[in-house]
Amino acid sequence: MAEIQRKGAKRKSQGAIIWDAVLTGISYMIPFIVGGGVIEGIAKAMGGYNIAADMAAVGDYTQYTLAMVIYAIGAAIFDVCVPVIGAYIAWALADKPGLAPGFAVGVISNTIKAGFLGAVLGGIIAGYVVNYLKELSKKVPTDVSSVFPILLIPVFGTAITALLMWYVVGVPVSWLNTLVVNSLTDLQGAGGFVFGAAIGAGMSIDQGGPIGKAVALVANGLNADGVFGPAACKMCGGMQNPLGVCIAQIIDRFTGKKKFTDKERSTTISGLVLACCYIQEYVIPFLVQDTWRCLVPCMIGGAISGGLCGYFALESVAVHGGVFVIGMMSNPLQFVLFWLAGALVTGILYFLLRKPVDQDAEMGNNGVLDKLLG
Amino acid sequence: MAEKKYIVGVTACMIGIAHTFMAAESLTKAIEAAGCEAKIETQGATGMENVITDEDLARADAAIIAADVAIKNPERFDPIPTLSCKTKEVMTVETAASVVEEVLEAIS
Repeated sequence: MAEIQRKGAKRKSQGAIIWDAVLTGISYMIPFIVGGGVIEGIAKAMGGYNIAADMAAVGDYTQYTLAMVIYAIGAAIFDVCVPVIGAYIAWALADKPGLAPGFAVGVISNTIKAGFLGAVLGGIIAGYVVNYLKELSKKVPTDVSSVFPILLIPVFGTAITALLMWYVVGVPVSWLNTLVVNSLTDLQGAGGFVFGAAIGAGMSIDQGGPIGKAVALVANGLNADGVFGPAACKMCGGMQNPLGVCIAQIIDRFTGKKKFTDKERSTTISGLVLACCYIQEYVIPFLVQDTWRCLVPCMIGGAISGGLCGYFALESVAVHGGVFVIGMMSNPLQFVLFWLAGALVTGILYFLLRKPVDQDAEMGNNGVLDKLLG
Repeated sequence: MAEKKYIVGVTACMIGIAHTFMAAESLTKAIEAAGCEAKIETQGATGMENVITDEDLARADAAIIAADVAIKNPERFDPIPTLSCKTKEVMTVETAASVVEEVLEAIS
């Protein structure tokens, strides 16, 4: 590529390349988690929360009820989440030839119970192994080099990566993963509150930026491993931010304090819609405009929402979807209460802390808002 | 004055519903504000939209890839000067303008 060298920019480090690849993997995995999770949620809503146990009792799949069939479909999609992330991390690193070894190592990761974390590491290894083989193919005579993509990379790339996963990398990861999954599976009470509050506050720092993504990565990863609590904390903690900012505007409207400009207050309704859709980006212009006075209330509200979810061990099979997936939570009413609780705290604190602004001031530039305002 | 420059680009973020399109919009505005013609492809959750075609590439003077994830078909941009950055860097028209300026400096 005729790369334009950026002024003062360092060459892209290996760490940055890997991080981008992991984000790529997540980006391709999310539709699977959402699809599988929501379908499982629908099945649970239809056939009871213990549907999985009921299915095991029935045994023969031809005897399943409709709810059980739907659950089985969701579970089948869910099982692909972990392989998909391995596959697309390897794809991001090594392009098309990376897909097969990456997918394989993800499947192995499921088999040896190394889960999401195993698939992430496996996908990275697959990417590097395939890249090495691709380099190697450039050194042999051109007559034989075509053997690489058609035979050698699929066979040896997959075998080397999968064996490494099974015997070397997978061992500690599997141990760690089992430990984490076990300790989080039944987490509730005070421990749950701390864990949930950490997730909720983490989601409320940069409103969809890198920190939020890293936190979401942990929660989504655990979701792919069958631990559904963190996803509830994440969604509750994240969704309270836009709602909280809207609440601050509504208070502003009714108290007549004019701490927000008219233009800002005209976004309240759109903000409420975005909050319901779990689109935190609505908060960004407010965060940019007056960082600390917005950040602190958001984080406190996020900690409250997330912490309450953790305390009561609320579970969400869906990782995204806002109000549309609330019905599939283990306790929808609690979720709504915790969401409102966090948002109220955020809204009131933000309203109190906020300095009145110049009515004519331009608000932070934001494509989403500009679009909403026409 | 020389002929109007044509700058193409791709934006892609992790989820592909908000940042991808916000970045595309501000990038387009910034490029047009610099007096150039713009076409930005988005690789969001709905796949590739407003795709940069071979005809576009043939007359493009430069490309900007603003992506947080690996983009599809990056090799298309091999023959033309290309600047890669994160979506964050082009999220507002102001920051996008400085990226555009960098590109224009590099190809002038």
